[in-house]
Amino acid sequence: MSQTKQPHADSQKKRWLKYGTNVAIVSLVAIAICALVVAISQMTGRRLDTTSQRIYSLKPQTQNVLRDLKGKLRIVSLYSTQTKPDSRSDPEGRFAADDWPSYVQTVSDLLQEYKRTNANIDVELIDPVNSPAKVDGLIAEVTSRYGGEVKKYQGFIDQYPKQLEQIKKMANEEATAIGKLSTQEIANQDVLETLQLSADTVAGFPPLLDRNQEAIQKILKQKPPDYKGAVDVTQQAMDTLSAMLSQIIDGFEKLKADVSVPPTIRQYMVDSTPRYAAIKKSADDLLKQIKDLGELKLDDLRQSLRQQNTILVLGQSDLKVIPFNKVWQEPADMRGYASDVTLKPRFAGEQQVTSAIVSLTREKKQRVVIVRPDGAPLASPGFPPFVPGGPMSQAGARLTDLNYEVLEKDLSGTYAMQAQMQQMPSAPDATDEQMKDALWVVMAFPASQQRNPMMQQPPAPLAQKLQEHLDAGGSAVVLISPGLGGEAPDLSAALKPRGIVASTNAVIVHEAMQDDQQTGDQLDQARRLPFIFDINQYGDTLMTRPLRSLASLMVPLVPVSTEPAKGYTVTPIIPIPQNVKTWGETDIDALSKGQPSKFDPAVDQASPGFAGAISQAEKGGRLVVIGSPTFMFNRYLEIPEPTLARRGTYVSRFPGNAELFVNSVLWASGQDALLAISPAAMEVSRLRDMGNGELAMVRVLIVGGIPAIVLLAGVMVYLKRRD
Amino acid sequence: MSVTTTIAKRELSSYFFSPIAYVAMILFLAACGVAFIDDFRPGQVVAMRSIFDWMVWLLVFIVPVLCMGLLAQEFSSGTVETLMTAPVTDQQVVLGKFLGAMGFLLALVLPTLLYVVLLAIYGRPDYGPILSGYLGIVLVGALFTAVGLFCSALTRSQVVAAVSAAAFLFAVTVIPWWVRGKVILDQWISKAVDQFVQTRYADFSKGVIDTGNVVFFIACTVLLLFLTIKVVESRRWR
Repeated sequence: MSQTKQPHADSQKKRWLKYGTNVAIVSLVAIAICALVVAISQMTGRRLDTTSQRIYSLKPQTQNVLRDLKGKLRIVSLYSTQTKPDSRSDPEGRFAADDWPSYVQTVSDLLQEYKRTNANIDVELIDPVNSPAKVDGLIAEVTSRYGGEVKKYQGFIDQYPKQLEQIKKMANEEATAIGKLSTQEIANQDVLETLQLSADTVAGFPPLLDRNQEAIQKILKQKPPDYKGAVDVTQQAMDTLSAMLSQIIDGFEKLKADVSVPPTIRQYMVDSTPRYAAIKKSADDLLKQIKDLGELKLDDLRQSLRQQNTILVLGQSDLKVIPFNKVWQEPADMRGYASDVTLKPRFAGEQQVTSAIVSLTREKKQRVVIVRPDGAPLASPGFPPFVPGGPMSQAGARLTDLNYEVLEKDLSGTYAMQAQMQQMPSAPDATDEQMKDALWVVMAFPASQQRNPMMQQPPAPLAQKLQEHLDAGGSAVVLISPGLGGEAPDLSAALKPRGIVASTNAVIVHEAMQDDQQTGDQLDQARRLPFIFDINQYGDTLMTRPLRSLASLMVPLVPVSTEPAKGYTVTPIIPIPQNVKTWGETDIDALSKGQPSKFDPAVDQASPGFAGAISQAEKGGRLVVIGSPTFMFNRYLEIPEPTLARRGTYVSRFPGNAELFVNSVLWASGQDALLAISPAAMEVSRLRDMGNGELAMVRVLIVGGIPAIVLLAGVMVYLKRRD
Repeated sequence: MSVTTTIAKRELSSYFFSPIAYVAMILFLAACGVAFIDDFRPGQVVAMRSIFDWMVWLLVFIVPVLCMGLLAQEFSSGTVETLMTAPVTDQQVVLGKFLGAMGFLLALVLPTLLYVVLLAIYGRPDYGPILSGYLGIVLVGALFTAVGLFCSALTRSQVVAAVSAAAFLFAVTVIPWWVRGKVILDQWISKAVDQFVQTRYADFSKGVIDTGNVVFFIACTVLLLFLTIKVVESRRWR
């Protein structure tokens, strides 16, 4: 029996080996092929965004930015599903508790798209409430990455108590000395007050510094430690001490020569002044050390953790914090468009994150100077809602978001002087040095007759300054104004050599539209006015191609033509619509008074072709001329799309205005990679209102009805099979 | 092909005679219903994303139960011998059973189309993400079914098959998702975690069809069916 089994066992073993090896190899090959197919499909895969608003597709501008991204970037969402904005920061209740998770999800989805688009981007979603351990990890990472600054702060906090002890010791000694003085004979009130201040300072500060130390210890126990806060406490104390000591020393200097002061007191003042100066020197030394500490990136993180619902973009050597209100922006004032709806916040996450990436990866921050003939600054952000921003504050903010340094220049110099006289804060004008390598945005408005009387000579004409800037290889965006209400600056000396001619003596008008029905809203009716144009074609250039079919509103338009210029490539932009008769009206005053205009072939310009042009010098300077002076002012950018406004969503009705301006600046400053339509607002549909009974019925149907039908079917099958 | 279809039909009809399938179906639809009504309130976003996310979690446990008997029962009851001696190939058997189980899975998901009807009545749903969500569920369901079938081929015990399949699906679906939510990962670990089911499926549920993800689910399903065929074949030489 055993003799017959032995060969069988051998053959089974052999079969196991033979077939088993075969199956193992085939299986491994199959797994390898599968992995290869998945990897290839991953690398060459296409993504189809099936949402109607393409909300999961990064916009072209972002894709351009990410395509050029070389270094590693980390984006961290600190949104929590449990920390919806409270009623203080959201008084109108735009962020309903039920809806809040969808806002968190939207941010998460957006960041995942960044990660998917570029392998150099890593995305982390941290819910600070649910995952405190992850927050600790993030703090450790930020501390180690930007450790240099933290070490400086830690070093200061470690060593400054010694200096503080020295100050306390000197103050205590001085308190003892001043305590021995008799003040009964002093009649002079100034002397009494100064001595009282001295006594209060030297006696009061040591316990105050002790209390500060306790507060600092508490602050340092926070997560992450608030080094900046701790240093700020010390700085505040030292500032106060230094100021009080200055006052005391000044008082002593004045009084020690006063013979009406008792000699013992005068002697004390003489003797103690160097001691007070020594204490002040110690306080000033500490203040200087604090000043030298510089920025603290960890503090940005700490602030962002405190603010809640922020996004961090961590670059190689710097980090950007995108606060909640930048990502979810308050809609513009839409009274008159949708007064009866609560507007949803506008999602500007992609624009903000992309801007942060641009600012972290761009080697040099470029400067834009808005040059105006006179008047108030145009792009100042103001302090909303208390102080409104300038008329083009939104355009300025867009440039700042794209990491431009935005400065302004008042050629007349009158505004700064007037502001100074009225004690109004005014941002300093750009210096000549700053203007040298900046991109100029020239607002060619007619200048008023005001001039700074302090200026020895009248300012150089705008054309001359612009010409010098362009001749030196600079670039500019020039916004041409017609000669309305004054003489428009003649820039031909700067523009003509570059192949561009702007006819500031004319305004482009179209035939008056006759419509008895007066349909449409106020804006539709306004567009029938001859000098108002609704533009959606901008020409076929690198700068304007991405704007194709975006609507913009232009009021008014100045004819701009081109001519060949040696050394320059000149291309017209902003073609004038040809579906109606248009001409360049030269009777601008009559037009401004609302008088009907009629084409006069003798003086008017027939069929102006374009309202803008771009010129690129072979040497590299770039010039954009647009025949509309105010198209990027807030009043045009804030006009909402009325249909979406009625649904509670803010979307700009004329997105082309802002895009044309931003693209002009990007092109003129050589940022060709960023030329694209910027991220747009998103819109979602919501369930309509329904009664409680209706809602309950639907819920019963869903949770009970459908499973009950299945149960019934199962019972019927069971009964049928049993029979 | 007709043999495969016959086996598939037989499997599908056997589901409708099985009380376990009905229980699984009732539980699945009740759980989906609860998830759906949680988001079905006036003013809420018209979307089925959360329900699609829930479906995957439910399928992790329901599919193993539905698939546990596909081959294990044949092995334990000895009917596999009859099947193997019949004029059918192993491929036809495995494919037929897979298609039968997939047919039941589709029947399981089909009633949830009523949710779409309700969304259309009470809002303006964006149909693109709904279609992509259902496509994702079908692809994930196919992969899960293939896993269930593979585990069922490895053992005679239906319980072992169900538990091992559920454990495997839990490991490739829930654990990577949980790890990603709790720990800061190195970039390469993070990338590895993203290769698993939940991250890939999340694209479908939000409305993005990535060909890479489609290929992943199809390729893994085909691979598991191939391995199942090899396991079934091995009974001839073991």
